[in-house]
Amino acid sequence: MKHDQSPSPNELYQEFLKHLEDLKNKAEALDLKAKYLGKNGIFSIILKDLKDAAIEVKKEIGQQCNEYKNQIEDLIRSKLDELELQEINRSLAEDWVDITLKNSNLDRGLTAAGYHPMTIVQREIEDIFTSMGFLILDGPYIEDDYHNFTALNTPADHPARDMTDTFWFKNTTEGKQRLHKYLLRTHTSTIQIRGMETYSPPFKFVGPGKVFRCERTDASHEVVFHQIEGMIVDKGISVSNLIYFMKTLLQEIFRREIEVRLRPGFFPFVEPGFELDVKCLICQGNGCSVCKQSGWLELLPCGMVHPNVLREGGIDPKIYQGLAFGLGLDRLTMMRYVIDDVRLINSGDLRFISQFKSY
Amino acid sequence: MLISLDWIKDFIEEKIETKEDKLSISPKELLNDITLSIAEVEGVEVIGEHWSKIRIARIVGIKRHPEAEKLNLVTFTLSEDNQIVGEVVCGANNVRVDMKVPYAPLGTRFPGGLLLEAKKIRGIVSQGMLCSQTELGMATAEGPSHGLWEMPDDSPLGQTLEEYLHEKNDVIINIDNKSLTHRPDLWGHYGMAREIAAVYRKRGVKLKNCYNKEWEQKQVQQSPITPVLEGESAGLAYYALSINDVKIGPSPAWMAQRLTRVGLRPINNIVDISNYVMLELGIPLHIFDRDLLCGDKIIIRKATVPQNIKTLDGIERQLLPEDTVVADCKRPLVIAGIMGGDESGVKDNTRNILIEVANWKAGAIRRTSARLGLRTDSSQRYEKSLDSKLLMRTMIRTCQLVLELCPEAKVVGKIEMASAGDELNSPPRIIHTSYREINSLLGKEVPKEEIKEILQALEFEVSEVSDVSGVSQISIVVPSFRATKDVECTSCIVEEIGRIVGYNTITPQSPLTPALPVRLSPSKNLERKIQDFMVIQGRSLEIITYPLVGEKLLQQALWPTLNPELILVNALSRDHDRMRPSLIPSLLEAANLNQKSYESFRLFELGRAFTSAFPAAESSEVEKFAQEDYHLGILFFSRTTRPQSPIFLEAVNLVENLFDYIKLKGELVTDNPRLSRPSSMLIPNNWPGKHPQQFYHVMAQGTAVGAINLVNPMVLRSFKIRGEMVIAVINLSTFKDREIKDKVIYKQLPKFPSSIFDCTVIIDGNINVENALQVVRSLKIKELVDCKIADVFTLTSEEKIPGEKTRARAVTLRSVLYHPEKTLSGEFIKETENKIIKKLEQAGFPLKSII
Repeated sequence: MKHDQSPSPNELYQEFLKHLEDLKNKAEALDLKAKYLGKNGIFSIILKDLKDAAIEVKKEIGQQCNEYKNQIEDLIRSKLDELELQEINRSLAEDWVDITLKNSNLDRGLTAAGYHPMTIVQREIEDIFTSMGFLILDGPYIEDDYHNFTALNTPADHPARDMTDTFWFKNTTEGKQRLHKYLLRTHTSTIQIRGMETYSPPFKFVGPGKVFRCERTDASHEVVFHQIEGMIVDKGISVSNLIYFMKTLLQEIFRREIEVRLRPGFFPFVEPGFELDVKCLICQGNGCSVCKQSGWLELLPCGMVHPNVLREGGIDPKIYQGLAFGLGLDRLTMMRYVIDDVRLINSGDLRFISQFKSY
Repeated sequence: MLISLDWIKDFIEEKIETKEDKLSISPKELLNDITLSIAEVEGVEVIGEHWSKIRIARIVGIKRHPEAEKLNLVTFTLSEDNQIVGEVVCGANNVRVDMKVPYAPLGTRFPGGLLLEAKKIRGIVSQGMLCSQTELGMATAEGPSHGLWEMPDDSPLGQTLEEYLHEKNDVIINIDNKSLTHRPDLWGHYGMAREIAAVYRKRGVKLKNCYNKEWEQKQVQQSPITPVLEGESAGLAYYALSINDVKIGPSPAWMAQRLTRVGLRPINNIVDISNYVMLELGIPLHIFDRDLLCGDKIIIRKATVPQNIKTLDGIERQLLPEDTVVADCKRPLVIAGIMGGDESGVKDNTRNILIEVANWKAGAIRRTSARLGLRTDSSQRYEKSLDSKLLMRTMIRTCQLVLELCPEAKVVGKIEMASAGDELNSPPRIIHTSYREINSLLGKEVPKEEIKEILQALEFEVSEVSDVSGVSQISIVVPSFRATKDVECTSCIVEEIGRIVGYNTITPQSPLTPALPVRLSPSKNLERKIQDFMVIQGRSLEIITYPLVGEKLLQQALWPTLNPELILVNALSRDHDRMRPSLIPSLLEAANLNQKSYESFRLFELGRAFTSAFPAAESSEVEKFAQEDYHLGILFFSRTTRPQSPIFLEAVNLVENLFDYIKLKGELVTDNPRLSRPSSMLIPNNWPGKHPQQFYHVMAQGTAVGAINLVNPMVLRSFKIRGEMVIAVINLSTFKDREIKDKVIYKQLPKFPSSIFDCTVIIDGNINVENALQVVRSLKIKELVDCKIADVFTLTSEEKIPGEKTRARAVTLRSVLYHPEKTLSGEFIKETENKIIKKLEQAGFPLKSII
């Protein structure tokens, strides 16, 4: 009989298993699959040949063939997966990347990026004021005599004009009545006048910015430095409110309980005028080289806005009172980062700036 | 200014019976109290403290120090009963029993600052020290003494050297002059004594009234010289008194010592008197040698031109017509209020004098003094606005001292006076206020009685006026010496009360203001967004530079304008004598500094640039003078070129992203005829640093707001910089006050598929790819929603066509076709693709397949 001569499904299956082991790649696997399971594959031929066989034989062999076909199908699939994984691994091994070749290990010049240290401190202070309801205003660096002095209760020939060494411009302009002279603002107090020109009371605002003094520079003196001016105008403002605001502000800046004291200080645009000292943060008031043994650090000038200044800003001092203060931003920045030379601030030196990098 | 506490005590009432010193206050306390209530104290120095501690002792016994051959252990007594007080270690050669010597106990501070402390000397503690004259700070005829001071045998045992030598100790208080700018009354000891008495009033310290207002006119004969005040001058009031037969000689020790202690060099009795009175009463004065004056008039007038005067310091000074002088019939004698002339001053042989006590207009003195660069003890007092009503008192005190120091001198005539208008009869200043108003401004309830007491201690007169609606009004008469400039309104009274009660007694309180929402102003918000973007996306470091530059830097940067309109009169250096016209020179300077340390870096600055203004009709004074613009300057530097990512394109991408981030439509254009306003040309066309090709204008809101430029090697060469540098500048002024608004509205996601069409065209080497994109975009087909570059590659040498298109590139353009409401038909797509290809070909961009 024809059937006796041809190999049994089991023999075919055993033969398949032998081939399976020898497979080297996906193509061979697919060929092997076609050889056994394809349209004209070995099992298809057996099943085709069975159509003339007895029904029992048909049933038995047919069933066997189908079982083996399923098994071969599964084995080929898993073999294919195995081969694919081998191939991926091989190609990944070829695509090796040195993962330690990262920027932090490379010299690519200066790749640091970040804010100027003064920006960091200034933002913090601005945010404290904003959280207490202050607006942030601005003003020009080039000012006229009126905004820098006259409107701030410092008329021409006032000796207080000598307290600030002012840069004046050579050129002037012809006004209706007189010659207008121009200068670089010596304090951010000019922003008080500009603020009053813009807003009606009650208001609270601060004005940060550059100021200019015609002074010799050294480690603690700069020609160009930075202040933040503050002003509150409302009904019933008192010296006690001023102490409250200054204390709250400084506690926020230094993030700790601090002790302050007010002492008389003269600034023509405030009356009474004060110097505000904080108990030395280094020695807690016992006396050290930073506070020159006094136990106190002079930190900010402040005072009640002079009625003449309010009047100049179109505000009736009988109804409204004000308080004003000025903070030196360079000084605070230097205190925060223990910087010993103020000239570094404007130096543009990246060896300095990059120390405060964000990343 | 130096203040002597000993001098202050002259003006403090003392209880006759006890002679108790109410001002025995520790220097530290004085420093603190004066700083908190009066003026800033820079330091306090105790002088001659040792005199009151050191006593006269007699040596009782001497024995050899067991451990040291050259040292002795000496016992001594301070009283006649020979009771031994202690034992000291002594190394002096001249030590002997029964010798009288000065003994300094432990705790004595010697001149020079050495504090005597208990210390073992070779194992034995010395209970003090026996002193030499040199150790006591005494000068001896023989020069520095080495042995103990051998005192006369009759020296009283136990007496302090203070009593024995009549030496006085003193406390010298150094007051910061700046804190006295508004206090003309504090430029003398009497004024300071008034304040100190007010501060310590609770200890019973009271000011003594040392000066009688009445002047006894002993002589009524003709005065040899009378003053004449010309109206135009700076003179307010002028007192003159003649005294004959003074004898010039050294001042008495007490006066010389006081002057020395407050920093003045004694010269002779008459000159010293003028300084002494100034330091006591705060009013400067001048004394002439009357025999050197011409005529019988002293004329106060404006200077005539040209006129020179040789001042006391021997320097020839030129006077201008606005200066005021004191003159005789021939010549100017004194630059009014500033310095006397050399010629007419007191000499060693002077016999007859004329005393000038005057007051001048503060502003005029200040102007002349500033112009001459001559700030004197006198001018710095006058420029504070002195009180003319104090002149008489000053003259009386001066005369009193002259007669005291020169008993043979005689007053001739009477005090002659000239004054301007009502200067001496001006009514007092009166402030109307209420206790309630004072306390409300202070934020503290100070009792009425205390307010009154403080004001009275400061010589204000307080009277309570009728009760109007339950509030007791008060009127306060301001003393004339506080009314010249300082005290003018209720706020000033608040200061008087606040500083004397002590600001530290006020409880801090929050004001009762309503809580209102606040937000950052648009410009502040923009500034912060730009900083954030430049740090995080721009990977840059923020710098701050001077807005002041000099001609040298502008020239090195080859900058076309030198901003001559914005030059300072009084610049400190030529390197910073004018406002910068642009941030670019500053950025270049920073880059030049940093390229010495780094191979590459990125930096930015938010700063201002200044140009002389083109005034608009409505502009303010300041705007008419200068235009102040807010700029962002960006600089990228790399020593080496990286062809795969040109530094210029990095900056371009960053600037484009920045405009997206601040939600402003920014457009980069290579050239634009609309850019006519010169101030909008952030990189001027005639700047040699402008690159002929790698350059973009940045347009926003229809104007040029910025520029991106690869710095031309011409400029780099000028700085000797090797490498590549790109600079971008953006003027934020035009849009900084615009609110950054989020205008996004959601669009439906696409419902129909879009069709993508790629075509590769040949573009000649020096033509920008954007030209091809514009050809496609200009088709204006509604369904053609996007066209971008998908790929670019330079043709190889085999592919290139001989003769032309040597550096041509094959560029793949990717067009997207989409309709929101339907699927596009095959025919339409095909038709559009053909249109694109045809248009490109017409524009000179043939398909790659065609060649």
